[in-house]
Amino acid sequence: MLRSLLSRSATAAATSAPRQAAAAARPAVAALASRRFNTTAVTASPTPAATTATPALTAESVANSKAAPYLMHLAQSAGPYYALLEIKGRPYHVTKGDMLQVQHLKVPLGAKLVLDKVREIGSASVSLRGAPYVAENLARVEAVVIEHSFSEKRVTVKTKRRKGYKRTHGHRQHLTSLRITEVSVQPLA
Amino acid sequence: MPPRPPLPIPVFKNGVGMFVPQIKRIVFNYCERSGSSRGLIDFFQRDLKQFAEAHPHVEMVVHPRPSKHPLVKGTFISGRQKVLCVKNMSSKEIQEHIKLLTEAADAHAKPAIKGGVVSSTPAVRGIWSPFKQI
Repeated sequence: MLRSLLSRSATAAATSAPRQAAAAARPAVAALASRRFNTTAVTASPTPAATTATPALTAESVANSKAAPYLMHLAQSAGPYYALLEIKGRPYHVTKGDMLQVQHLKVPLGAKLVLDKVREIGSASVSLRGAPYVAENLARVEAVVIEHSFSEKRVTVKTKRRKGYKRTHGHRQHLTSLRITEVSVQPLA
Repeated sequence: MPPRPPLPIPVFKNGVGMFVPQIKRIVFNYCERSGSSRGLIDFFQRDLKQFAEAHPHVEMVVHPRPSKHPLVKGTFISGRQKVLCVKNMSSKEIQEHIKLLTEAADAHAKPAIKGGVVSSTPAVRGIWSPFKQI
């Protein structure tokens, strides 16, 4: 694809003025030639903004907002709470005591995890939705790793009839089970 | 006096109060002479002590089983047993393979849970009805 782009630009320069103007409007060949595809090399393109942790909320910052009484109500209600978590990019709806089966996490058995990507946390009457995540000092979700297992085997069979072609591919997904030990809302300092 | 309602049966949720590893005992069977047991014998000589110290809650038994392929049999708290054949495996491969015993909760492999969550708590926001205002 890169070679065809280069040849197209080379022929355009040799032809009439409108084509030359169009070629000038296109991105420079040098930039395309220096750009590398499907590599992890650093390129000249602007780097995306560094992702920062969800900024912490303080009582001062929300004092005059309309959400303040709702936040207070949420923190003071005894529970139970539910949370919409994000683990490895996938959403899970959890309450305390639930067992969660997620994609394999490289964490030792019995380890305690603090899950910080909380999309939403709420009680029976008030819910707090993050954009995209709730502040870390507000929502507290903890879990314990209870199992690393493999799912039952699923066999994929590929066959082409009358051609002597048959392939069998077995797969067992590597999974981790977590037990949610705490879902709570911390009052703002 | 009216009869008392039955007390709720406590449900054990591993990890909420305390985490209990589910593997109880591991029995190693090997043959002194056969070539397929060489890897397991190598594991006994080099790595078994460290492995046993890393899993103090597991009872480890080494038992010769002459003229047979080497086996690792794990017994779980549920009473179920899982038997792994480790013939012609190296010590490192055996350590990876018996993670199926030490890290799993039960002998039987189950399909992946659809939705990912197993819950017995009632809905926090209640069950939806057309008369309920969100």
